[in-house]
Amino acid sequence: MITLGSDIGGTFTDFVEVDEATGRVEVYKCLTTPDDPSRAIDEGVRALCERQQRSAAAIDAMVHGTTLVINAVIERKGARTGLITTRGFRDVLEIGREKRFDAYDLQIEFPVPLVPRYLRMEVDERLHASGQVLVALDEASVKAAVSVLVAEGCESIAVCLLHAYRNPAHEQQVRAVIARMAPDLPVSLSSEVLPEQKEYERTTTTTLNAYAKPVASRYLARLEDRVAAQGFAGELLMMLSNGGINSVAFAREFPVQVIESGPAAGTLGAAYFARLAQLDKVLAFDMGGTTAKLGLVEQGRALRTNDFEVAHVHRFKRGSGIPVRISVVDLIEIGAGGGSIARRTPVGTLQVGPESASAVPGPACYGQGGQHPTVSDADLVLGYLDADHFLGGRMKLDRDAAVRALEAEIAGPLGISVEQAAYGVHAIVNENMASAAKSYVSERGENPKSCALVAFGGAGPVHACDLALRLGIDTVLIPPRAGVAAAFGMIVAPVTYDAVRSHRLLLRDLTSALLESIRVEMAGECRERLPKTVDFGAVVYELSVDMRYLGQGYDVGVPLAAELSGPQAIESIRAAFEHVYGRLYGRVYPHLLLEIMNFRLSASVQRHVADLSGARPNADGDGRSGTRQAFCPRARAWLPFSVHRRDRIATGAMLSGPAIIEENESTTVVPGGARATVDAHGSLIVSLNPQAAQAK
Amino acid sequence: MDTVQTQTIDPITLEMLWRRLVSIVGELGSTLRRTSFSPVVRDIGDYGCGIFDAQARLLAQTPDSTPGLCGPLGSMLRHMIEVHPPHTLEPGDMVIANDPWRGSGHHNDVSIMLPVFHEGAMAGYVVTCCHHVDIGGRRATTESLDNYEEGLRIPTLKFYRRGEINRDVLGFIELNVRSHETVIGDLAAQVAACHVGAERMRDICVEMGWANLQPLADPIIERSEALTRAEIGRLPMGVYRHEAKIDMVGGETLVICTAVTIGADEITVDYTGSSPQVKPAINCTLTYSSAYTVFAVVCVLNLPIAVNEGVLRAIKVKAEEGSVLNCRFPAPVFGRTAVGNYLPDMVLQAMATAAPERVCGGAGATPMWGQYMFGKRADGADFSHFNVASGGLGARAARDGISCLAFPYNVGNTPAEVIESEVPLIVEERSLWTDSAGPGRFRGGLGQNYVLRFLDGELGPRGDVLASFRGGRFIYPPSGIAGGAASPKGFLSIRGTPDDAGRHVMLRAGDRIVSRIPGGGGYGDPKTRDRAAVAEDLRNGLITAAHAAEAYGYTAG
Repeated sequence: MITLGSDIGGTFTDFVEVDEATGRVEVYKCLTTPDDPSRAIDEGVRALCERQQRSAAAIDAMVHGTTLVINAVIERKGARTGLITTRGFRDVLEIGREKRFDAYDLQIEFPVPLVPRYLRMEVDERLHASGQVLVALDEASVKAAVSVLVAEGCESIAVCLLHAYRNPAHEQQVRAVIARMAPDLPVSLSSEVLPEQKEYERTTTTTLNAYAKPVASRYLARLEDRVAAQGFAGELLMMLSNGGINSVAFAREFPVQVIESGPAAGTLGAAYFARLAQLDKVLAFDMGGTTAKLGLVEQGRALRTNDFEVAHVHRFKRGSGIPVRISVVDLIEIGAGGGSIARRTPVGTLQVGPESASAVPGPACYGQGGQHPTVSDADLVLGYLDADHFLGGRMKLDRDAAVRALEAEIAGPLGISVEQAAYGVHAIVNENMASAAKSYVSERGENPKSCALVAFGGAGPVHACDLALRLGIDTVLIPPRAGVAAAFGMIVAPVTYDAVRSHRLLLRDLTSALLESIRVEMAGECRERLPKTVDFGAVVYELSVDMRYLGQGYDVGVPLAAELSGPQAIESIRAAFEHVYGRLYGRVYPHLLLEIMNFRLSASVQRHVADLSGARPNADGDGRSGTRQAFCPRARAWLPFSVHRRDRIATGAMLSGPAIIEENESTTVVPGGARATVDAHGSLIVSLNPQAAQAK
Repeated sequence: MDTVQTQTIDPITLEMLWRRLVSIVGELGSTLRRTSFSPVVRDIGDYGCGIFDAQARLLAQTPDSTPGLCGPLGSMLRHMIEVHPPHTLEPGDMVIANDPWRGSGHHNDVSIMLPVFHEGAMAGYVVTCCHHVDIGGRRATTESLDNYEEGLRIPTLKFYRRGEINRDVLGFIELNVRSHETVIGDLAAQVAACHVGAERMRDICVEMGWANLQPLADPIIERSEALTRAEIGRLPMGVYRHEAKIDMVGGETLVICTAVTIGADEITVDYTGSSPQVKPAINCTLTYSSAYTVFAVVCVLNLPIAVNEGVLRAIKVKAEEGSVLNCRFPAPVFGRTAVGNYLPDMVLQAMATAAPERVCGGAGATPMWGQYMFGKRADGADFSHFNVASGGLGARAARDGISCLAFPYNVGNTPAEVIESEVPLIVEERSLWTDSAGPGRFRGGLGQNYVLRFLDGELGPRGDVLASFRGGRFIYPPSGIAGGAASPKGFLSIRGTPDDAGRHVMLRAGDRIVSRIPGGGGYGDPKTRDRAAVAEDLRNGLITAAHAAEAYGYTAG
């Protein structure tokens, strides 16, 4: 069994191929081809096949992740989309939630709706919240709406009727009318895309799906053609935002589900190596050029959320984007990357990010005309990066330019030395990430101290140990091939489908018959939506309910034991809720009524993952290649750091900090007092407090 | 007096700890919001949290909660420590109060303060204030004749003594409020939030080896004050006046006189000349008036820092005692938003000539349009409902206003699907109101049509529904700015009969309530509006051809 994972990123398209028979791992990287991203896939598959002198027919499965959908939304390159909705509600997309995401900003702006007002049509029909029909659907009004949309040249239609999450009949009827009038027009029903209460979020999610559908469909067809032309006859699967994978047919029907697949896969890839190292609770930390992302992974499963937005007007302001209520891997994004710009604030302090120098002009040390000091400039001046061996020597860094930028914009104006300025930049960006991570972790009822930090991305390993120290974390793991973590994550991701039913009722009114019928209905939907090739006997179902104390406004996701049925199942729900609620908020209210909002059923099948070889043919001892002076954040002093090549460190060899471990994609900084080893799978594991760890 | 500390702090540590203070109040707010039982707190953000140094100076406050609740936290804290001087406070003590003249202007807003002790000495204070669903007295109405009718007046007492809850205080509250479980639950949420704040403040002291937060507080306040004063210095000095009539309950009119004096490094907003306090319960206390006034000035200054004591020092607010903006006890105050919400509008209009690029046209969302309802469903279950529907934001110097956006309060709507699953009615319409934007070179945001109808039979209410509607601009519409035009007046009808807001009404099955909430005022001469923008509005049905011709002089083709 050979599986190929491919991840299309902003700059590079990454490939990881794993051969289960041998444990052999092949990696390839090429430039992304934005005009037609499937071209890069074509190139990568060809290169990997040539390298092994065989055709793509040898590959059994391909798992693919793409930024196509998110880019279509951000660049507004999706289809001309029409919306059909209930009389009185055409403006739901524009009225939104009526709240300001920044209370003090009089110049506030919101994202322009994906469907302009003249393409939003109302039809006569009305359902009650109970699903009961108050006014039957008037097909004449549907025909009138569809004629206008067709005449206006719409390429895709979203249908979102009030309370359709409870009763999809009217939406299905609308689809039937469209099918008769315009059989080739793709239709997205809110009752299928997101059968959840709250019309604004359901409408934005459904319109986004419709908006992306034709683009995704064309792209996936090209992709299938290209790999077929190379002889590939295996199964093509798509990476989803929820950390799972599903069929191409599924992605074609629900492209909104692939919107955030890259970060989800990266988190899973990183966490996989943590599990191999027997670390069960992990804070995955991905730091690139512009942003850092952090996410919790427990027992190999990434935490998920349904609270997600895209296409923000202000990248880091919640509420300034378009809500997309699908299940996504729960990550926080912080404006902290290697390119984050440092500047003196008007109150005489030092601020880092969220603005980034991006790839062009990039940090001052790239020598491409960047004048502002960045995190990478500070990392270079502090001795963490090697000016001659950045990106494996492909790019020379200009230390003098970094010093000049820090001097001119930070050290001079603040009256401190360049070294202090550089350390300040490094420390502040780490503190920003630490404080965001602390609130993220504690809002989820966890303590960062009980996690291991798994770092990847170009800048992640440079900052990981200092970040871990700020969070009270003892163990830091840098997975092998951290530069292609997302493509790797696609190989280890399970096949999944998440079903949801909004059904609001008091817990005391829930009967075991009702629970069972909802579960059976959702399980049927899961079987229908999972790829046909799945071994249905191996599917694992997880049932959960979103619930709250009657009167509270935030739901808590409560996992329910699968084997439970009958009256005990109902009994146990309260205890399960109290367990979760108590963990989150520290107290419970035994006398209060509980209300259920949604039922969720998550189906997943873990695909088989080969044992990976951590073989490094050049490894010998501690792989030491020299010594250089660098600033130790722990000692707050310049110290001689031993320098090591990661690919030369033998399994089991023990290094002591202060040390710098270099590889092509990144550099790991190990502070004084810490120890590092490489495990059998190739992961670099840093123990920040080895004495304390031993004492345990 | 605290001992003077001489530690100085480097700019890097200052940045880190300053940011941390801001994130502490964020955490305080999210704890309160997430554990609260009342929609007013969790969905509407009707709360405020602040952290203060040992000298009761504000260090940071929740940025996205309601200005009317955040603004008075400092005056409330100073009042609390007047009654309970620091030497009488012990670790674990908490003080409770709801005096409208010290805090945010009506009894429903209850403040709880926790003194933060570190190594046995006072290190600072945490104060939270939140709007409680009920405080006894009359239900949500502006018909109270005096402050005594407006529910429980809580003396400034210790709610906790050395970590033990004061059952006497709790008992009084429990017996005097409706839905007491919700109220007590929300008080507990405030207590929990205070503890979170105190712990984080102590963490900083421990990490830095400080006895209190003074080494951090001093530079934050000094630098913020200097920055604020410098920003004020960039505005042209002078006295800028604005006088406006606003309508109140029963077709009567109030006058608000606003004089903004921009000095070299200080702004004073003086409301002298405004109407005397009035009979309906819409009077503002000075602390409440100040909160909304300061909010508007801070919006105009557009500072790169969060509000703290240093920012507040450069802004002064005055109003004559006995006026509607500085009422005397026992004036009724429950519905003070009906007047107080106008103050940002007044300040922005007054400052229009001083800072034309920083202000916006009149807000259609001002004052807040809210619907309160209490009744029984056919199945006998009680419901109580509150929704806010907002008009449009005024136009800005270089962009149109935003349609249907809360201002200056920041309360979102409740989804129609949620309303309909709780209340025996249907939302017939929630749509943009055609032609409701004030015309201008840039037009206001559009207002909305919001139409409700109580259902009949099994899906309808059982018996009468007690309701109260808030709103305004029935006589005086939101005005334009810099040559922009006004938007239309607001309109409310109950069972087909036009009405104004504020009274209790009884509703039954089949009743229909129509609200038309105005858009925002325009900015600049409408005749200079980009013709393509007018055509686009026409195409989208946001304006009619008649309006395009009349307001913009536009004819198609």
